[in-house]
Amino acid sequence: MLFTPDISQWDCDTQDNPGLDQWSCDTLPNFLDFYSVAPATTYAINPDIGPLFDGVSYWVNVEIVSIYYDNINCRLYLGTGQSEVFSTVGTHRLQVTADFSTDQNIRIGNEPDSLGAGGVKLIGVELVNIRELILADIETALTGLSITGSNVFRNRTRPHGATPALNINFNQDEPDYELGKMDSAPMQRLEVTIQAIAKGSSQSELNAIASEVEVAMYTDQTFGGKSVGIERGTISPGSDNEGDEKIQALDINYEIFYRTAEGAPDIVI
Amino acid sequence: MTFLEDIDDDLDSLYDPDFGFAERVETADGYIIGIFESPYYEGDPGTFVGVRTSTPALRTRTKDELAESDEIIIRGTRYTVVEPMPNGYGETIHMLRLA
Repeated sequence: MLFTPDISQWDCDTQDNPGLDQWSCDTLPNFLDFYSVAPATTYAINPDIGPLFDGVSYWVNVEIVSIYYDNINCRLYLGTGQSEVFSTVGTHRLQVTADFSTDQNIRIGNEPDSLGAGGVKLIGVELVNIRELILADIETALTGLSITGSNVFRNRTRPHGATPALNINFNQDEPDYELGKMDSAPMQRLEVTIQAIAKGSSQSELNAIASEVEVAMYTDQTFGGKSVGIERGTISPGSDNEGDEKIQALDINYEIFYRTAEGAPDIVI
Repeated sequence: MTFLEDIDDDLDSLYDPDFGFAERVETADGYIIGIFESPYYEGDPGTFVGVRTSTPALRTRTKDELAESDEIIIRGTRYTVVEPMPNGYGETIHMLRLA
C-alpha cells in the first residue's frame, strides 16, 4: 500500500511560529493541517494520505527547503512515534512507527535548543512491511563496520568494484504455523544471506568480517521490537582464482523470526 | 626449413622490440621481451553479483619462458607468474597475478 499525496506545496515553518517547539498539527492523523511559510495560513494535507494506523511503520519523505539557523535538529512524529533526527537541507527518508494511542498529531518538531528550519515539506508517506523494515535495519546495522565500511549493498545488480564489501540478500520468508500464535498468526521465518566479499585478502580477514557482522546482527536482534529473535545459520566459503587477485567470499546465513497475523503483513504482533 | 623453424622465423617480427608488438619485461635476471594484456574479467566467487577484475597475461617466446612463482615487472607493476602455458609452437602464455 503506498500513499503518495500531492502535497508538495505544503510547507511548515517554525520561523513564522516562534515559541512552538512542536508545531503545525491538527488533530486527526488522516486529515492534517500544516502551517505554511506564509503566516496565519494553513493548508490541509490531501486526505488521501490516510488513515494511518497505530503500530504500523511508515517511511515518510520529508524535505527541508532551507534552514534559517544553524544547530537545527528536527524529528518527525506520528503521534508519539518518532523518527531519527534530521537536520540538513534536502530530502530525508525517515522510518517512523506510528503510535496514536495518546497523541493523534503528526508533527515535525524541533529538538530542544534548536531554533528551526525554513520551509519543510512533507512529500509522502509510504507504508512498508515488516520484512522491508527488518532488511533496512540490517543494512543500517552493517553499515560502517571497521573492515567493510560503507560498502554495504542490497539489490546490487552489477559487479562490485571496491572490496571488501557486504551483500544483503533476502532469500525467502516462510510462515511457520506450528510456532505461531494459534492458527492465524504464524511465526515468519525470514532467511537472509549476508555475503562478505574481498579481493586479494586472506581467509582470516573474511572470518574477521563475519565476526563483525555477527556482533552487529546481535546488537539488537529484535530490530527495535520487530522480530522475536534471530539465529545464525551456516557460513560457507567461495572463491575465484582466475583474476589478478584471488577473490574470496563467505555466505553468512541468518534467520530472523517475527510474527504477523494472516492478512496483516505490516503489523507486528 | 622445418615447419617449426618457419614459425620461429615468423615470431621474430612479432617479438621485434622496435617494430613488433612486444615490450620490455623486467625479470630477476634482467629482462625479456613479451606481449602483455589484461582484459576485463568479472570474478565469480559464488556470490549473487561478481567482482570487477582483470586477467593479466604475458605472452613470450618459449625460449624466454618463466617459471611458476617468478616475479616480473611490467609497466611498473609487479606480478607473479601463476601458470606458464606453452602452446607447443614456440610461444608461452603466462597467467599473472598481482604480487
